[in-house]
Amino acid sequence: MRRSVPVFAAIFLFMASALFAALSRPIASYNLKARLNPDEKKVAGSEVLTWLNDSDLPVSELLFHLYLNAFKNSRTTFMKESRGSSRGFKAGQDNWGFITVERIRIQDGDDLTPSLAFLQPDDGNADDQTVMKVDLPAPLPPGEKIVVEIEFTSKLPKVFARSGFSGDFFMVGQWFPKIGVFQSGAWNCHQYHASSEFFADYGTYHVEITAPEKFVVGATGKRTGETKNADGTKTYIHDQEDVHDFAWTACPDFVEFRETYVLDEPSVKTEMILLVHRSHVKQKDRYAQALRNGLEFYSQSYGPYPYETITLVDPAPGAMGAGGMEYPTLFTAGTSVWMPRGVRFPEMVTIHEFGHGYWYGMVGSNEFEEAWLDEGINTYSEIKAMSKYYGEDRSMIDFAGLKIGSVAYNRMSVIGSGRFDPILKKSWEYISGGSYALNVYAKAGLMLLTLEKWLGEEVMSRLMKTYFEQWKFRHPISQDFIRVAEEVSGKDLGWFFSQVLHSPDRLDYAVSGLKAEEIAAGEGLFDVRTIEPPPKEPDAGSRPEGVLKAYRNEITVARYGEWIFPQEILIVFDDGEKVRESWDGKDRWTRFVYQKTAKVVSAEIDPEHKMVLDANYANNSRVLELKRPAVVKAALGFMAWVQGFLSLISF
Amino acid sequence: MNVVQCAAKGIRESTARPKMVVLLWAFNFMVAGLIFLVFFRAFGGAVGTSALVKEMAQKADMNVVVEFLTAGGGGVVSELLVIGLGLSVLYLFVSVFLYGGILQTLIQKGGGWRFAETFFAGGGRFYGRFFRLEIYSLGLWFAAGLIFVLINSVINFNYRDSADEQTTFVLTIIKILFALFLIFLIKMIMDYARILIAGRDSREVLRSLLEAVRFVLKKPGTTLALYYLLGLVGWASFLIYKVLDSAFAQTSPATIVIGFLLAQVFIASRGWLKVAYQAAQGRIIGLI
Repeated sequence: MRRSVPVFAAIFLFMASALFAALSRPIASYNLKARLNPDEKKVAGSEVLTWLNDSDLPVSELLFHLYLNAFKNSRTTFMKESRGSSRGFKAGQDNWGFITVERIRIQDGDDLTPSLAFLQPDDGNADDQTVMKVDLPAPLPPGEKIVVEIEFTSKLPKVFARSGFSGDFFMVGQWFPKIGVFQSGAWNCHQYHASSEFFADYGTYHVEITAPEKFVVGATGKRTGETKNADGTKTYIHDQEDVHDFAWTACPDFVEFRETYVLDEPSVKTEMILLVHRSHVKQKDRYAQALRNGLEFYSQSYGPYPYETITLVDPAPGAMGAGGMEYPTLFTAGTSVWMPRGVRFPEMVTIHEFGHGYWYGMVGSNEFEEAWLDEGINTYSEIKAMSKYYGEDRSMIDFAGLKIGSVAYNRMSVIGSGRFDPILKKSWEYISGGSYALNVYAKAGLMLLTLEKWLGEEVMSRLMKTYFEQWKFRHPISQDFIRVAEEVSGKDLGWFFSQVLHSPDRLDYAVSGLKAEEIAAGEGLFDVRTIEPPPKEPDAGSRPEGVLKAYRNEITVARYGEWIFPQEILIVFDDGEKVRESWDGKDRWTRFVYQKTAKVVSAEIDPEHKMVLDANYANNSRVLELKRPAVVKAALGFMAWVQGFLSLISF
Repeated sequence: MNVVQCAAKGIRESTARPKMVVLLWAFNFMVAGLIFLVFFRAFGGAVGTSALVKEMAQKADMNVVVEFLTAGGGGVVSELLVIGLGLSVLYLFVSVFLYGGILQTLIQKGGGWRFAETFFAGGGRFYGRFFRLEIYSLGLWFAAGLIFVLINSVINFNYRDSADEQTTFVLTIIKILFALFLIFLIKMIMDYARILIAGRDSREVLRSLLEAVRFVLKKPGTTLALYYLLGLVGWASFLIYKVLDSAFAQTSPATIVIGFLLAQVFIASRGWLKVAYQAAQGRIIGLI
């Protein structure tokens, strides 16, 4: 009997540890204190960082991101790359932002401040101070932890790229010295670039934020304490495990809404916290519904949302540069006073930014090096969610008779663009910010939609769930995604990803020719099929008797793009017969020839519209005769519009 | 004569000249007809043989529009825009001629000339003067632009850090309305200047323009009321057109043609209104 006590205790401990086990392996945990000075736009901070050397090598130096230094002057790498503007905002005019490390030392140990130096691992720009290095007095052995204390001051820029202030609104992101990721025997700690986001290790955050009492404060994680101070300020304590960043916001004009979100299958219970600027309070329900939709879609499609809170921040008017950004358990959305219900920008941003909680927050993708793993997968998810909740053909815009779905919206940016970069590239190496955005967002999203149509929805659903399950709270690379895709589908997908991920080329198949020429009655062979090249032996199976009109039908299909995809072609004859052909798509063209009593009416390549990435849908099909009424109607409509315009300008 | 009587008189004068309305419509039709041919070729070439457009006669399909907009890397649409811009400039030149014709016809009542002779003679007679007037009017446009920039700057400065988006939104609407007001004001002044030139057969174009400015500033209530009253007539005809146009589905060749004819009636009504404006404003200034 007595011997059973330790056994039960062991079982209890095992179950308890399973129940309360952290979801991630904590590598970088922070204890932060922040005090907002709204007049000086500064945050006075202190940081206690506990960092675990999770590698097999001793570490003799520590590298930190000092992201706010990107806004320190006009010669930083960020400013040079962005030419001083980001998200429609201009930098400068005494609104620079920076972070000053006043002291850094090992807890109860050496002062590391004298060894502080700035590195520029990406471009060698000596004016860039976004990466800081300190030397350790002795190498930290593998598996050992180090505790570092840092005193710092962050000066916020006028809202510029994600962070900053606008009037009384403060979005405090990338605000503290943040350790890089020690990976594969080296520090992965890139400079802050105009076209890149972030990468960090998981850990536990305990943060105390002090701000004047009039401010409404929101932050990553769960609020575990709140105290009034004698100096007219309030201190808010937030705690969160299993996250790799911490952001907060403060504004006296926020109206706070709270709602408990519950989902039965899978089991989710979380508190939705909406911090909506008073200008936009009328749109609170749109935000709330979109967030509910996001929680439901992502939980059901990929895995249950595991955190106790999710905070939506609606930036103040004039602060949209801080909008549309994700942080763990907190994201910024964006809207304006006049936003018709059918213009679903707030819904799209809400769902998209919430979704980052999965593909950047939980799946710790490296946005510096392989941004598509977050942005692309999330764009794919967003398209699916928007189509589900708002209608496939109108999910983006359904206003004044104009309907645009998410797929068409994303295709517009991809198919009309230049082709300079592939999807997979380091974020700052794209030819422009536009090229970065269209590749890692839209093109990557459409790539996954194409893959879904290729593999089938059910297989794709398993693939995404498996990828999420295998890589949550870890750091995957593209090859990991490909491996999961091949394992789940049971197919070799190298040909697919090697083209779409690594090549800037395009996919464009077309029906390039369609002809039906009458041949003399009784001549030739009827109801036979030949393919050129290579010519096939005619099937002499059926020779109709009597005198019939006969046609030589030629259907030519072509590959205009560089990417090679196997294709199906649907050919329709005027007697109603439908014929399906297959083509490996490797040659530049192939031709199908039929000599039949029926005339070809139309031909369509990719009739199931699997090739969402196809650069030109219009040439995917061809009819024998010009669709004159449709073209005339369009031309007359356009002419009437021009007539109205002419009469207006000359009035 | 009060404003309403002048407006009514203008409308009567315009209604009594169906040939002129048809002629104005014909000029518009001819210039815009070129764009029809260009668009037909471009649209037909880009998507016309695609099965994608088979439903287009039934309902507009954004996918087709997207394909068209991006056809040839956007080159097709760029070409169309360039041609459209060229035609717009051409039409502005044509409209200078048309104003001469309209005013000559309104001023020279009877006289034994046939309508066409009068109209084209007027167009030619006043072309040089009206063209110079357009050039002098650049000064007015510049002044209006300056006023707008000034007011816009004052508003922007005072509300630069406003967190009250409602106010900012309302101010934006007010700024747009103010810009439109300035545009219409200059257009109205130009109308009076042309009437003065044609009514007096004056060659002093700049003087006529300044006199028109003085007249409008002297009688702002009357001139603006007349201008906006006739503007309301224009809006009413537009609304009637929209209601009729949306009353039936334009899916068959017959209904497509009916819809097109309806659009032409509306365009003709714009010409009718243009004549009414000249006649009514000529009446106010006492020259027609």
